[in-house]
Amino acid sequence: MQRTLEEIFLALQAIRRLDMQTQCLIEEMYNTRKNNPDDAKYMCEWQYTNSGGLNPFGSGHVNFDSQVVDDCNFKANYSGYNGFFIREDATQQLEQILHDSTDETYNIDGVGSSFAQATNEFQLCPKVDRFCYMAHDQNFISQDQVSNLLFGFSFIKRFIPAGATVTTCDGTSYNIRAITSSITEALVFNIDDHDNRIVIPSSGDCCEKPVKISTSAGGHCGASVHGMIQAYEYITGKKRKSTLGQGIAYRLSADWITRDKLYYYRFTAVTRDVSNLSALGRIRFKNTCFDSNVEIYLLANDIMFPGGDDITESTDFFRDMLCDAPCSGPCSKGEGYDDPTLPPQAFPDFTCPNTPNWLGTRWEAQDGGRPLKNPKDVLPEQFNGLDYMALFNMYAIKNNLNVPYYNPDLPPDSNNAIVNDQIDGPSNLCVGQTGTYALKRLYLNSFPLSDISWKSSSNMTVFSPSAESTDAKMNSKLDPSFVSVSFGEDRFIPQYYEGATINSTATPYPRVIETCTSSNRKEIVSGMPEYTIQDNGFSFCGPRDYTLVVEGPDFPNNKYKWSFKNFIANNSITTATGKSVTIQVSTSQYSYGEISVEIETICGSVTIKKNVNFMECPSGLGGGGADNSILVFPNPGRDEISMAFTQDNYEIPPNGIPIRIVRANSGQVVRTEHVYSKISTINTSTLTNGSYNIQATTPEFGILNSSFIISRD
Amino acid sequence: MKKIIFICFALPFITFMGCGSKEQDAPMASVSEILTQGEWTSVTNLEDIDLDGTFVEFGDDCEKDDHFVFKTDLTFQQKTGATDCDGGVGVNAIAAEGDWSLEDADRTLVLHFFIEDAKFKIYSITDHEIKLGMIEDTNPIGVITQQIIFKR
Repeated sequence: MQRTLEEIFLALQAIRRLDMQTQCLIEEMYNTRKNNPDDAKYMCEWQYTNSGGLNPFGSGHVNFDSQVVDDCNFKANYSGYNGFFIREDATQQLEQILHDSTDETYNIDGVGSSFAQATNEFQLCPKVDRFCYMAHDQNFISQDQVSNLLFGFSFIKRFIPAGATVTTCDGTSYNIRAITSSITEALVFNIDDHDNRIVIPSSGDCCEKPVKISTSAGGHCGASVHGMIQAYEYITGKKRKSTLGQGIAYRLSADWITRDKLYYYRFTAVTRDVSNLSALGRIRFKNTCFDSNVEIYLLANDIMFPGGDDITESTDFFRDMLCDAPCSGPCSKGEGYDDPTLPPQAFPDFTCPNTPNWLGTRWEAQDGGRPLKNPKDVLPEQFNGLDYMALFNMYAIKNNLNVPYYNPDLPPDSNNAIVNDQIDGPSNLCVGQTGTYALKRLYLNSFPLSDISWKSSSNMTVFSPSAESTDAKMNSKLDPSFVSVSFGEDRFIPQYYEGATINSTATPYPRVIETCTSSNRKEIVSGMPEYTIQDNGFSFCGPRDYTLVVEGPDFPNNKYKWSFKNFIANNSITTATGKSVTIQVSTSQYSYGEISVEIETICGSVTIKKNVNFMECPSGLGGGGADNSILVFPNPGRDEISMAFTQDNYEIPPNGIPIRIVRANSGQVVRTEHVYSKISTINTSTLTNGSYNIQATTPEFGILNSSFIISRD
Repeated sequence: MKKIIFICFALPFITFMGCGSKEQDAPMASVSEILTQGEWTSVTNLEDIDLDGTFVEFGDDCEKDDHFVFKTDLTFQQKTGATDCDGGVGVNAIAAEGDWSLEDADRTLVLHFFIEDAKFKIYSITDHEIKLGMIEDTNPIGVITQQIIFKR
């Protein structure tokens, strides 16, 4: 948890740093424009903003043709909460960190960021204007950045406690949620207060006209601002309204044919429970997410709004995606890359596959950030797997999986962790006992496994550490004990070209073989295992069969010896052997019984017990209402009574069922509490003699009633 | 003849103009008839953020002169007025179109969209003014904190 907090903190601080950095750029820009001759006052000269055409300011970067006024008095604000920032500020120094001199193939030899180019460290172009180079490269925020940030911030609100802080080395504590709220407020207000536009800060005061990021650069948020405001309300807990026009534009955008409709789905996924939409709206939401390759929004919505109906219904799709993901990370080679008749397109060769469903930035856009067809002019690329990490973690949260969250330091191991129980063999070994353990292949093929290595906890011995299966002996008691195995596994993986899956060995685009590494672990109980007595429920008004079974490891030669004490059974069973037994409880009278079973195993012997109350099928006083729904026993009672729900196989909800005892003649409530089992004992020692009603409020049957008498005479 | 319909459950308004005060000397036009009688030529957004019962106007001026047309074929149009919002579709152009309906015995106006509807309680409606209370998606039975007023 602390590491997660620190990583989030660093990410938030990076956003604030970009915000501060941008303030520097803006101050520098205003100061170098004002008081200039008129033709040198423009915020950015046309060379930075024109991508072609006759109109110098007619490109996608319009609006920078605004002259800075002489009395501009802009002062940089270093709060980090100005709500406007550049997308990145990577410098060439990053290359020194990322370059691996031991790797002669893939490597980092330069940083192609806009910021690095603008800082002009190589002095290739001495007249570069830093601020305007950001405009040239569209390195300012757009509604894409804003919407994705707010999407992520919603998860911070959902999962990070309000009081969670990170303390830096100088002793300063930072509240994660407070930083998140402040960034959110600055972003959303900036846009909502400027006619739904992303505007260069203070350009309304410092220029002859405000400078707005152009529509084609994602600077017009007319259809998404309603979603931004809804996200703001959720993240900050504060209220803000959007206008009727903003709300209409937002809702209309859900049906657009362009990818801009995804703002609607992105925001809706984290701001309202989609399960509560109309049936038609629900279907449309789901279909659009699938058609647009943003299926993860459905998972996000279920996580944000747990309980009730889930929009995902099944997570099999996501599980299949995770299991089919290329172990080395998604990549894209472009059509023709593998064609042996064509000259090599890149060195070294990209051996990774074009993988269906995993083409790079999977969740970012309608086509995973790129055309699924892999056009010829796309250079080969490999991707970082952040899209996999997002799905892995959300899938694990959604399904309450007992797996560690995706660890970027160890992606190969985590890659297969989504598949549980990858080692066959006993989960319990007594001291001196030997078990056989075998690894399970993930992929069905004939490739031999490689680099198999079995290990165990220090109290065990592994006999064949490099074989597919091994015997392991429990030498001494230690909990938890374990065996683990790591291995490499080759598999064929299909490729994807021109929208079609290629899954053959045929040229020119053969499927590729990739090696995945797995590391699996199985915990083993080293002593007497835990056994319990389970029953299959009991019907007071049915045949009164009562079946009991021992739950726990069934070692060879296990012996079971049942006995029934204070028990009245029609079939007169008083002892039994076997893992399971069925008795018939007498209807002649109420009965209380103690069931015990002695279990002999190779690890030793243990006796476990279970106490049971049995009652007659109820009727009349103490027998509940006409539905015989609650039975009270004994009746009349004294200092303790038992109550039982008589519905067949009724399972009490985990949170229990509230009951109350009411004095029959006055209606006075004399006791309230919860019961957590079908049969419960209630202390009545404080109740005076008289008639009482007992009421239970059940989610399934509503309020159930019964009456009983307390009499100590 | 000015025709007024007050929706009786709309307490904030009936406190100063009771339900029984409507004029009775002409046949009462239905909500649907009044709604569709022509273009509504201004729209005002009001909010009550602090829940003190006081509604304050908000929103950009460019939205205030938008026109809304509710047609008898149960479609509606939102048109820009003389001032177009920045980056909008242009002056006097259609900014949005969709379907509308009345629910809850004509006490709720619904604008229909692809995924979700927008619902408004009709507080009052006259020939010249409609007062609406926005029903929030996430709080359908909660306190109304936003009002819309159409005028013509």
